[in-house]
Amino acid sequence: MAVLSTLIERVFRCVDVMHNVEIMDSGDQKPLNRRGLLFMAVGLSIAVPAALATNVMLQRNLLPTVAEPSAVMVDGWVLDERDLSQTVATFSGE
Amino acid sequence: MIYNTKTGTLPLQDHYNHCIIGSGPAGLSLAITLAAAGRRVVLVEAGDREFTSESQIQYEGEVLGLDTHALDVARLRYLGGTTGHWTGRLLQFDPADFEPHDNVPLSGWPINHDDLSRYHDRAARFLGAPPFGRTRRPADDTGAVDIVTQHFSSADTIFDLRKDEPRRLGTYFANELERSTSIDTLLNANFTGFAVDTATGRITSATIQDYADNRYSISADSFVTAMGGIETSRALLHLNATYNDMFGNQGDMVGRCFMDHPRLDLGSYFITKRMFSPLPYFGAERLIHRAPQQMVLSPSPGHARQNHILNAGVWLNFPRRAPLSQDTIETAPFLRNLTFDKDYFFSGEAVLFSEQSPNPRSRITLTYQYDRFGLAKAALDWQLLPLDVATMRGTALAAAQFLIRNGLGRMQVEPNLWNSAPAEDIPFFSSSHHIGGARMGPDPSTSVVDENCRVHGAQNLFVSGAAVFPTSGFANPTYTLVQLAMRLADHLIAQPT
Repeated sequence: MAVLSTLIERVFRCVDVMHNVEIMDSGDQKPLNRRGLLFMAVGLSIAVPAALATNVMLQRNLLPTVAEPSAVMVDGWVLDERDLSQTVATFSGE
Repeated sequence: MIYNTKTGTLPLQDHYNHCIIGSGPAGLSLAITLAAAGRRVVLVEAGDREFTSESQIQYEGEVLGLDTHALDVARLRYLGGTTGHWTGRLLQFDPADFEPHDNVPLSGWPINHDDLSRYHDRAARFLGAPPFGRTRRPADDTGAVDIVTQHFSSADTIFDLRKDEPRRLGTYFANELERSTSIDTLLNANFTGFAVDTATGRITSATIQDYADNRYSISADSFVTAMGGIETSRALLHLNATYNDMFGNQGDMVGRCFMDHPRLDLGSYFITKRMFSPLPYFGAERLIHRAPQQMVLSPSPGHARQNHILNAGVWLNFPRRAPLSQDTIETAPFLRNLTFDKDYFFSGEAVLFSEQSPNPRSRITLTYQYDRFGLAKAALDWQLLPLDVATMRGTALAAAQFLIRNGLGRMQVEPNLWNSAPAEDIPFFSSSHHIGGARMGPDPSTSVVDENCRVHGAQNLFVSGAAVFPTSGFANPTYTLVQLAMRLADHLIAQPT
């Protein structure tokens, strides 16, 4: 959501800047308005997949789910027994 | 108006509708609510507008049982009472907190959650909070652990008021009290006792004394002690010593069932962002503030009953967008290989707050030492039962297992708690939440006040504050005691004057 909002904000800012330029030029606005819409469409086509990908990334499991954890205490931490043997592979997300 | 015995004599009226002793949250909220209904109120405060050693020293007493804060440190004796110490945390009791438990003697309230919920908005407004809601919902499919959250309408206040200066009630309401034509607030006015019509059980007047040893008598239709858990017990013990246990002490219950919220620092935790993803509110909150909300992991009521434990919660305090400190990682070899993606993990400190069961041996008594007004000082004998330790252990374990089960993180647990060490080896400490001593109930043999906070055996003596709580839940008591004070105000307003 944060990435999406940032991208949308940037798209709108660009459109706004271009629109202001258009007014100062006081020419025919139609081509530039079309250009603004095109720019926004391109921006959204990038932003939406990016947001979805980000969301998928955030949902991924870097830690394992354990149906019935066998909790052990190691150095004050409550861990599942498998944490001790799968440390590197599990926690690095690889 | 505010009158100070240090600066002049008190222009007391011949008679008031209500005399309230104590200007902390319980007394102030009651006084202001009664005054708004057109009642004439006298509010008696033993201290000054600000802290003075002369007043504070009167709070000295003995600590006999478990180690806790000294009695003259845990409380404040001036306008606004102990809200001068208040961290501003507002929490609501769970509906299940009001219900009796089969394995917990003396549990259960004579009122239920709905009886207080109608005062929800008024209490929040009085305490300076925006409207807020509360949710308790299962954290996963097992139903063992709930996630408890509160959400405020103001985006600036998350869970509590500590982002701003917590409201110091004495400071905040001083101008209102000064302007009030319905409330006479008396400062440096030390309550020393009641006069009683023994034939009717009616309190006829309250006696106060200033530091120049001038004495004043206050006449009123009703009297309310709102002096906090310890001082209310102390006042009632004095009263009953003179009047043969006729005021709430028919069952020798005054001062008994003192409760606190044992607090235990569990250690560090880390959680993944997925912890927040099922909760839409957190998503919006994070988008706005770029910081996650605090949350509490609490055994569900069903899990608690099934495992014979009380209510408790593990606060995942102030999650920060940062990896664990290098010092913490060094203590645990398994953590060294953990890839801490800074945009994926949150970390912080986990703290456990636990309910304590009502225990008649945990109590407030009088000592043989006396204060400058000739009143015996209080002694606090705080005791825990094995059930209380089991509650702390069961809650910490349930929270840690929930994180493991769902791949949401890991947390530390105090090793002595994990190893079921005796209570004296577990480094819990007091939250200075003085609860009980004048417990509410229908039966005078097991309680001190009735469901309307009226002292058993008295016609016109009431208690306002956490002293009347029959059980403690694990929520900080201020919010609930203000709700109760407003309920008491409605009861008094309904009485003829």
